[in-house]
Amino acid sequence: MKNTIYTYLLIGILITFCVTSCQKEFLEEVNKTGETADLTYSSKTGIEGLVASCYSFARGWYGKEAGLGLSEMGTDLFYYGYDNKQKSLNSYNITPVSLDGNSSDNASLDHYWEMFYAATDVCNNALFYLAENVAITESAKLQYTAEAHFMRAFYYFHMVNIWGPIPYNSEPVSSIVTDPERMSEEEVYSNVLADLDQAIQLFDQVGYTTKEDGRANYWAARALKARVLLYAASWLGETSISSNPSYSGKNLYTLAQAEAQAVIDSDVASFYATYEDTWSMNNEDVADNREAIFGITYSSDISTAANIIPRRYKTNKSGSKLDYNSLITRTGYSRGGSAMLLMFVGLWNNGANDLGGNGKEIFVRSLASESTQYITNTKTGQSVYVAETYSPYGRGFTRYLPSLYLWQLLEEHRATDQRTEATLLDAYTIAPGLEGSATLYPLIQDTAIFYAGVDGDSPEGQAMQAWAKDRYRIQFMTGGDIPIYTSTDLSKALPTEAAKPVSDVYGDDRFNTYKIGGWCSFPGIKKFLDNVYDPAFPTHDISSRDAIVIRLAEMYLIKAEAQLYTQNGTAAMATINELRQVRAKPGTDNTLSGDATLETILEERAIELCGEQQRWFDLKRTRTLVPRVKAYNAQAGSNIKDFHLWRPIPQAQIDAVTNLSSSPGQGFWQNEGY
Amino acid sequence: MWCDFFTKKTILIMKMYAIILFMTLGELMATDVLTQNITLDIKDKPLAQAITEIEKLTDYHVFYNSKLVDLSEKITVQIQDATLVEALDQLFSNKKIDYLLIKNLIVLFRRGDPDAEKWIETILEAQPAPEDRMISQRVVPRLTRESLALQEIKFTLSGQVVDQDGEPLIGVNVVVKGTNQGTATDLDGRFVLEDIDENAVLVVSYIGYQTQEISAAGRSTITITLLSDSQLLDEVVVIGYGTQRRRDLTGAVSSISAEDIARTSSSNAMQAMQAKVPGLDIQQSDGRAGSGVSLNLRGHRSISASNSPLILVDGIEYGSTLDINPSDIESMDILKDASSTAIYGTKGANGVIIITTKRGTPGKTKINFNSFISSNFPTHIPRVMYGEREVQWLIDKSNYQADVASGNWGSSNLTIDQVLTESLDDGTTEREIYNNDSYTNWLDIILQNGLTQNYELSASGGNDKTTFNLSVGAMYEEGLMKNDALDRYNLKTVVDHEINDYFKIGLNALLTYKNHDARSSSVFGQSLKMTTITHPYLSNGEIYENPNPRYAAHVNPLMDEIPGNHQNNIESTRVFSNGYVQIKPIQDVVFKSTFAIDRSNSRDGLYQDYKSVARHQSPGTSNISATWNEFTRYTWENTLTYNTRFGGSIHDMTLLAGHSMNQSIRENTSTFGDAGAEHYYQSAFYDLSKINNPTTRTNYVQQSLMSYFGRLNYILMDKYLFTASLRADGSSTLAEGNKWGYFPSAAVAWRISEESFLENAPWLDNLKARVSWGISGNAAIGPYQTLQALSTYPVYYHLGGKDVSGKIPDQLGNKDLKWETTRSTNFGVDFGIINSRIYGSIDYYLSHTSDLLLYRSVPGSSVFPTVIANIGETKGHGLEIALGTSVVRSNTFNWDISWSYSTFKDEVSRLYEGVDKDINGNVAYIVGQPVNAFYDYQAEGNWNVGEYEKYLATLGVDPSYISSYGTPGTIKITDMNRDGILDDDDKIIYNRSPKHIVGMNNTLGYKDFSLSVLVFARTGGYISYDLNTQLNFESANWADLDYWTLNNPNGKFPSPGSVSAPHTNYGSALRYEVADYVKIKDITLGYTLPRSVLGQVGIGNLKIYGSLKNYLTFSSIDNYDPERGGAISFPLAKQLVFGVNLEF
Repeated sequence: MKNTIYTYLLIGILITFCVTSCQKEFLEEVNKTGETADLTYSSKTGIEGLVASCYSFARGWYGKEAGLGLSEMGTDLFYYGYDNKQKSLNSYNITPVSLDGNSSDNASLDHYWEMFYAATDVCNNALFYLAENVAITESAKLQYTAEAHFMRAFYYFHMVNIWGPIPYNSEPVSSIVTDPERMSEEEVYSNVLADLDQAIQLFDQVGYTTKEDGRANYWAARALKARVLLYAASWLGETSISSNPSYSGKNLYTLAQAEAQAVIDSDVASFYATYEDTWSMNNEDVADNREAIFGITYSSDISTAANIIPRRYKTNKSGSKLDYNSLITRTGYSRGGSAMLLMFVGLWNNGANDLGGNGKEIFVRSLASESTQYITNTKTGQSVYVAETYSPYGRGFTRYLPSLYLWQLLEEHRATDQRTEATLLDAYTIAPGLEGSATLYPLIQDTAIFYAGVDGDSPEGQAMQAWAKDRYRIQFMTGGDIPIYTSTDLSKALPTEAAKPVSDVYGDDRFNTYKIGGWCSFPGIKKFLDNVYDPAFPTHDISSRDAIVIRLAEMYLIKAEAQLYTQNGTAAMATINELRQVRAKPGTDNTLSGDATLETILEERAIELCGEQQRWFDLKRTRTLVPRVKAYNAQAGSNIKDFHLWRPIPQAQIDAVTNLSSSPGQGFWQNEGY
Repeated sequence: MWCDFFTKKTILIMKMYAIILFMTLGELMATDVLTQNITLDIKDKPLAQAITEIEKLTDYHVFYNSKLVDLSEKITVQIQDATLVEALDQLFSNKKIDYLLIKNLIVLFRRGDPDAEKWIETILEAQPAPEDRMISQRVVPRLTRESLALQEIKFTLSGQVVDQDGEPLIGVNVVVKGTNQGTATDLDGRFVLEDIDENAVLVVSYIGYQTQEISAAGRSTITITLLSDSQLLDEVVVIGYGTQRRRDLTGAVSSISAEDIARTSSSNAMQAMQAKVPGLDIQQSDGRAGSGVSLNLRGHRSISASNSPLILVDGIEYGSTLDINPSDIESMDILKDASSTAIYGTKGANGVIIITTKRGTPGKTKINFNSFISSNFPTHIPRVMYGEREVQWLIDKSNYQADVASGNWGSSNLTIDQVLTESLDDGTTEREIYNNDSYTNWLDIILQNGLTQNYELSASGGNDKTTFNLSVGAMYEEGLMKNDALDRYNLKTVVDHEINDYFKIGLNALLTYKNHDARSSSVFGQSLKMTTITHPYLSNGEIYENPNPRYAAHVNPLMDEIPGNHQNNIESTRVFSNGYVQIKPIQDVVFKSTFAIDRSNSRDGLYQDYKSVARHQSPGTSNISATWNEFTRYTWENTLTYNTRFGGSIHDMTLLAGHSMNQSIRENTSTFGDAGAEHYYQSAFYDLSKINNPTTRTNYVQQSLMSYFGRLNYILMDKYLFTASLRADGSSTLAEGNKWGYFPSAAVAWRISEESFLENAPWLDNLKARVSWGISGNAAIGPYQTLQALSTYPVYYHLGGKDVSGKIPDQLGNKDLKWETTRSTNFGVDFGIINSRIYGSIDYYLSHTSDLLLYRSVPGSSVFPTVIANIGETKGHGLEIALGTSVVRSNTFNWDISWSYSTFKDEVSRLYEGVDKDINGNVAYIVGQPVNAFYDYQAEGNWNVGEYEKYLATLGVDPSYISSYGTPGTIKITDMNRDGILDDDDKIIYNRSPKHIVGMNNTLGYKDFSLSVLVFARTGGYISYDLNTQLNFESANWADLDYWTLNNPNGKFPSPGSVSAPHTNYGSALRYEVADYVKIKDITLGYTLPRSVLGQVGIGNLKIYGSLKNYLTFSSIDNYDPERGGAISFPLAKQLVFGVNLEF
C-alpha cells in the first residue's frame, strides 16, 4: 500500500512537470551564431562591414572570366581560343536558359542577374541602416552614405547596359514581388545620375576627395558620372533624360565633357611617363596607381577567403545555398582574386614538341616543387634556375586571343606608340643560362617563340623566317609555315586550328600538333599578367592585382567623344592627340592628323582600353556593335543580329514572374529575339 | 484415397495436414471400423491395389513412405468378410511391411524399423517441427495392431517447452483447453499438469511465439516446440509507444525478423530491409566504406522538406546510418499508414521505422558469437575508352573537324601517324604506346579488392527479477580503393530490473566508436576522364604527375596514393542511451517514463598535400582543415497505458496518454586554411598551426519539439478492432503562432475469419480487412527559417590596406511557416490460408500533402531567388502486396518464398498562385507531373548530313534555333510543338520514381542445411547517368559512348570534335536512362551443426554460412548497377561472405 502511494505521488509530480514545463520558452528559437540586422548594423564595425560589402559584389564582375566575357567578347577585339569556356558569347549563341551547374560555355547571365540584385540590395540596406546609425561620426556617416549611393549607381548602370529596362529596387527588399515592372532605360539612367549627384554632393560636403584607401570618392563619382553621361548621350540621345529634372532638356555630351575635364584638371590622377608602369604589379593597387581613379580591390592575401565574392542567395530545393559559377568565383569560396592574368595567355611551356619534350628543354611551368624550378641545359649540363623568369608568363589558359583587327591596329602604331609593346606579349624569352638548350633550335639564344605581326608570305616575313631558322619558333600573323590567322581578310580571318604534319621550313614533324594552331599559340595581352614572383604561388592561378575600372586616359577619350558632338572632329582630334602624346615613344611623334570621327575614337579606345571590360558597351552604345563585329570578328559575324544589343533576361526570372507578357512595354517581357 | 507422403508434393501434403489437424482436435472417426466387413479378391495385382480397395471399403486412409515401403509386389489374395485387422494381417503376414491403426489412418512402415515410431509420433503430435524431429519419451506400443484406447482416463502429463533451437522457454502458459487447468513453465521450461483428460488439448502460449494447441492424448510426457515465426498472427509488432499482436493491428505495418537482420553483411544494418518490405525503397548509391543508403517509403510527398522516414531505435530518434551490431537487433517494424504514424505527429509523414534491440531473457546465460569475413570486389565498373578505341576516337574527331571545315563529308581520312602526335615525359610517344599496346587502364590501377571483417560477442540472461544483455562488436571494412577503410567498435549494455510488483527500471546504452579513412571522390572521376594513351609512371619509376599530353590539367589519380598526400580521417563517438522507470500502480495501468540522451562527437580532419589530386593543378598549396561536431539530443517521454478487458473477453480496450519533449543541439567548429607548398605528411591536420592564415567557423543549431498524445485501441469480440489517436506537436522551427500542430487518426479492422459464417472454411486461417485514415506532419526543414538572418559567412573587401569583413542579409525570413501535412487513407487486407501456407497482405493507399514546405523560385529581381513557404500540394497513391508461400514443409525439407511488391504514383497537384511550373535547371515541379522528375529536352540522336536542310523545309516556320544547330553530328532535339524554337515547351518529364519494385526471398531448409536466395527487381524510373556527361570534357576520356560518325549515323552521342554549343545547350537530354534492373542480391548457404555433436562439446548452437552478395545484376544499362542512381564515383562491391554464428 505504501508503494502505491509513492507511485501516485511520483506520477503526479512527473505529470505536473510535463504539463507546466515552460512550453513557450522551450519552443522559442534563438539563433546564437546568427546575427540580426538591427543589432549588427547599429554598431560601428557592423555598419562599416556592410558598407565594405557594397563593393564586394563588384569582384564578381571585375577581374573574373565571366564578366570579362560579357564585356569584351563578341566584339571586334578578341576571339575565343582553344579552351575558352564561353564560346557562346563570341558566337552569339546566347539563350536565356540557365545552364546552372554547367561550368563550361555558360554566359552566366542568370548568375549576374542575381548578383547585381543582391549587390543593390546590400547598398539599399546600407543606406537604410546608415540613416539610423549613431555609432559613427556624422562625417563618416555622410561619406559612407555617399559610397552606398555610388555603388548602387555603379551596379544599376551595369545592369541597364546589359539588359535594358530592368526592375529597380530603391529600398531593402522585405517581401517578394512576383509581378515586377521593368523600369525604362531612361528612368534607370535618371536614378543612376541622381545617386551619383547625391554621392558627389555628400563627398564634397565632407571633403572626401582621396582615393588612398580604395573607396569611392568625390572624383571617382565625377569620373563615373562622366562615363554615365557619355553612355546616356550616345545610347539614349543627347538630351534624352527627362525623369531627372536636373538633366531634363540638357545636352548630356556637354555635361560629360565638363565632368571629364574637371577630373583631368584635378590632381586625383596623373600619367606615368612610361605607359608600362600603369600595368606594373608594383603599381597594381588602385590607391597607389597614379592613373587609376577608381577600381575594384583585391587583397594581397591570396591564400585565405579575403578575396572571395559574397555567396549566392539562391538555394536548392533542400535549402542549401548554391554557388555562383566557377567562371565568376574562379576558386570557389575558399580563396579568390583576379583571374585576368589567365585570360589572354597562349600555350607556351607545353605549346609544342618543337621546344623539346613538350618544351621541357627550355620551358617549364614552375610549381612549388624544386624539380620544376630548374631546367638542365641539354648542351652544357648546367642546372638553370628558371622559376622567376617563367612565373610571370602564367598559365596557358588559351581563353582569348587578340583579333586580327586589334593586332594590326597595335602593329600600325608600333613605331611611335608605347602601348603596342606594353600590350602585346609577342615574344617569349628564355631563362639566362639555357642558351642552346633546344635540340631542334640549336642556335637558340634568348628568344624561344616569336609572334611576328606581318604576313609570313611577304618578303619581310620570308626574311624574318630565314633569320629565325634554327634560332626560335616564329609564327606569323598570317601566312608562312605556321600562321595564327587563316586569312588576311579581317572579316574572314579565324585562328588556325590544325597541326602542320610536315614543316615547310624544317621538313620535319615538329609542328605536327593541334597546339601549334593560332587558337592555342598566339600573342597574349600583357596588361594583366602578374609579373611579381611569389615563391608561395609560383603558378599564379589567381592574382591580387586590383581591377582598374576608371583611369585618367578614359577621361580624355570621353572628352574627345563629347567634343565630336558638341564641337567638331578637329577639337576631338586635339584631345586624342593629347593622350597619344603621353603614350608616344620618347622622341617620336605619335599624333594623328585630320579630323577625328567616331571610328577614330573607337580605335583609340581599342588601343588604350582593350581588355578593360568596356568594349562591348562602347560598341553597343554607339550602335556600332553589329557592323564592327561583322567587319572584324569572323567567329561572330554570321550570327550577330540587332537584337543582340541587349542580353536576354534570364529564364529563371521569366519563369517566376506572374505578369509575363509577349508585348514589350507591357507586364514583364523578354527582350526581343530571345 | 491413399497418398504418398514423400514423393507427391504440395497438394497431397496439404491434404495430409488437413487430416492431421482434424484428428488432433480429438474428433474420433469411424468408431466401428474394426468390425467392418471386408471382402477382397485380388489376382496377380500389386499390393497397392489391395490397399486402394481397402480404402474404398472403409473410412480409413493409408499413409506411408514409398521409399521405405514397397507396394509394388504382386499378390494374389482372397479375403471374405474379414475385419480390417484380419484383412491387413493377412495381406502383410509374410511381407516386410507392418502397420498401425491410428484413428482413421492405416500407417504402413517397414517391419521392425526403429525410426517408424518417431514419425508415427510426429503425425500424432500433429506439430511437425521444421528442422528437428521431435523425440518423445512416450513409447508407442509396438505393433499392437489395436486401435488406440478409446476410454477416458485421467493422467498426469509432464513436459517441457522449448524454442526452435531447443532452448527452454520460461514462463510459458500451458492451459488445458476449455478448462481452467493451467500452469507456467519453470526456469528449465518444464511443467507438470495433473489429472487431465486422456484426450486433453493443451493451449501453449508465450509472447513472441505462435500459440499452439496440442493434443496430449495418452501421453505422460511431452516436449513442445514453440515457433517464433514472423509471418504468424500472434507475432508481436512494435507500434508507436507500445506493442500489439499482429492480429490486432488496424494499420499497415511490416516487420523484419532478427534472423533476417543478422544476415546483413554491411556496416549499415538498414540494408536488411531491402527488397523485403513492400513500399520501402532502399538504394545504396556508392561503395565507399561506411556509405549510407537512401530510404523512401511510399513515394514522394515533400519537395523541400525531407522524404526520409523517421527511424527510431528503442523508441528514440536515431538516424539512417545504423551503427548497431546486426545481431543486437531484435526486430525492425515499419509503420506505413497514417493511422500508425500519426502518433508520431510531425515526424510521421514519411513513415516510421522502429528498431528494437535485444534485451535479456531470464534463464541460463547465453553467449553468442557472430562473425563474418567478406571479400569485396569491384563490380559493374563503367567502361571508358581504352587503347585503340581511344585512338579511333582521336581519328574520328580530327576527320570530323576536317570534314566540317571542307564541307566535303567523308573526304578526310587521317592516319594514326597524323593523329598520334604527342610525346610523353617518360620519353615515349603516343605512337609508341600504340605500337607496343602499352596503354594504361587507370581503373584497374586504382581499384583493389577489399576485406570486411565483423565480430560480435554478446551475453544475455538473468533471472525473473533482473535480466541483462551485453555485447561488444568490432567491424573493419575496406573499400575498393586503397586507404578507404572504416573501423567500428560497438558496446551495448541493457539491464532491466523489477524492484517489486510496482516498479521496474532499466537502462540501455549503445556506444559506437568509428574511425574512418576516406578517399577523395575526385580520384575516381580523375581516373575515368584520364586518357589511356599514356603511362602512369615515368621511366625512373616516379609517378608521372600530368600524364595527359593533350591536357596538362589532368592530374595523375595515383598522386593521392603517395603516402600522406591525401589524409581524411573522421573519428566519431556516439553514446545512444536511455533509461526508464516503469510503474504499475494498480492492475492494468502502466506508467513509463523514459529519459534518453544521444550524444555524439566527431572530428573530420582533412589534409590535402599540394601534390594531391585536389590541389595539384590549383592552387598548388597544401590544405589543412579540421571540423569538430558535437551533437546532443535529450528526449523525455512519459506514457500512461491502461489496458482492460470487460464483459468476459468481449471488450478489450487499451488507452494510452503521453507526453514527450526533446531538444537537439548541434555545434560545430571548423578551422581550415592554406599551408603553402610544403609537405606536412606527419602533422597532417593534427597541427593546425601550420595553416598560414587559419579561418575558423562555428555553428550552433538548436531545435526543440514538445508533444502530447493519446490513443485508444478497442477490440470488440476479438473481431472488430478500432484505433484512434491524436497528437499535438509544438516545434521551434516554425513561426510564432504556427508552432503547434494537431494530428488525428482513426482506423477500423474486421477479422472476418472469426465470423461464424466462415467457421466452415477450415482452410481460411485468417482474413482481416482494414481501413485507416490519418493526418501526419512534416517540419523537417532547417531551423531559423522564420527569422531574417545575416549571412553566416563573412563578406570581405579590401579597403585602406585591410580586409574589412561584413555580414549581409542573405535570407528573407518567412514569419508564416507552418507544418506540411499529409492526409492519407489506407485500405488493407490480411489473409492466411491453409494453415498459413499462404499468407500475406494487400494495401492500397491514397495520400494528399498540403501546405508543402517549398523553397519556391521567385523572381531574382526581388533579390532572394528562392524563399521557403508553405505552398502547393502533392498527392499520391500506391499498392503494396506482401505474400508468403510455404511451398514445402516437412520434417527435413522446407521451402518458403516471401514476395514483396509495390508500386506508386505521385504528382504535384498544386503550386502557387498563377504558376503551374517551378523550374530550376533540369529539375521542375509541374502541376500534374510526378514529384520526383527531371524536366528536359528529348534527344533523337544526331543530325545526319543533309538531314537538317530537309527538316527545315518541312518545318513551315522560320526557325530560331541557335546558330550551329543542325550541324551534322550534333544533337537533334525534338521540337515538340514544331514552332522553330527550342524552349521549355519542348521539354518532357523523365519520371525518376520506379514503376515496380519486387522482392522475392526464397528460404530453403534441408535437414541441417539452409539456403536463402534474395532476388530484387526495380523497373522504370529515370536516372541521370553521370557517365553520359563524360563527353563534356575536352581532351578527356569520353567513356565508351556510342558517338556519331558518318559510318555510325545512329550513334546516340554527338561526334567528338563537333561544335560545343548544341551540346552545352541541349546535351543534358542525353543523360537520362531508364534504370531497370534485376538483382540476385543475396545467396546464402548455411549449415547448422547437429546438436548431438555440439552438446558434447558444450556448444548450444553452431551455424556456419557463406553468402554471395550483389553478385548478379541484370541491368538495362551496360556495365552499370543502376541501384547507384546515376553516380559513377565509387562502384559498389560484390561480396563473398563467410560467417559463423556460435551460441553457448
